[in-house]
Amino acid sequence: MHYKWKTGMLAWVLFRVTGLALVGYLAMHIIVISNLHDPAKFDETMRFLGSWQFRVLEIGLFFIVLYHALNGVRIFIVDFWGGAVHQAKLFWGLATLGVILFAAGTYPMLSHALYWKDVQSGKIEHHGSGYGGAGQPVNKSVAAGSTSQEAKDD
Amino acid sequence: MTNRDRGLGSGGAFHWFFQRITGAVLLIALLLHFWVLHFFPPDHGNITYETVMARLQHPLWRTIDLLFLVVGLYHGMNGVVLVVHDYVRAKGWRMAIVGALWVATIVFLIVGSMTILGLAGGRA
Repeated sequence: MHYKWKTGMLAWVLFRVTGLALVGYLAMHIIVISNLHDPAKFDETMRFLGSWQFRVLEIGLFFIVLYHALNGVRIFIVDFWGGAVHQAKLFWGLATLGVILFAAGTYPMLSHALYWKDVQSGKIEHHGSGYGGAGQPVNKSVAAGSTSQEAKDD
Repeated sequence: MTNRDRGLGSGGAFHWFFQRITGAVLLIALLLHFWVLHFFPPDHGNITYETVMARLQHPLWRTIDLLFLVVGLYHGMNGVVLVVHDYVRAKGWRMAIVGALWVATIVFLIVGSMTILGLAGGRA
């Protein structure tokens, strides 16, 4: 019983800490996205936030979101479906699911980060929507807004 | 099990229930959000004004994003209120902090809604 209390306690503290962190992130996120009223400023901000370094940090954000979401699911099950009886099984089941989902989500996120790392170091050139992407100079005519272009995959 | 045992302070049954409902909605919304913008974004995740605006042209995306904003802000604010209720015992301080949280939430709701609906200028 002592062991179960410890994991439950840690899960609860981390739930609160991740929740508060996500509230702070949400506030920042809303402010950054409000740059949409100024296209040039938005693209400048996104080029900065789209660098490979920030993309690696985003994996950390994904971890925080995933932890908070899965512990939330655990609380939901305990409260609504009487999961308290199988508390430990539920905890470790969701923890396993979390590891799988984290690996599955990190793979594409990391590949995007590594792609932009190569672009930033000049190893490869990005041919995308015309903005040049992270760490590359802005295509002025597009930034000025002559045509509407949808991004296409290379 | 009382609310305090659940670490929910004196938030009441409504907030307790709604925190779970909004949490469930956010689970689905965040899966969609990460799928579209982090796992399988267009152009290797090169998010630009044009790509975001192209998406926001669709009324369905605007609706989803507005719902996401409202539910996310409510869930976040309610979460902080629950924490405040657990640690701040003085009634005056509690009311002042919760009041400030409401004001901040409404400001963020207005800013976010204007962004989604393109009401703050730009080329939307």
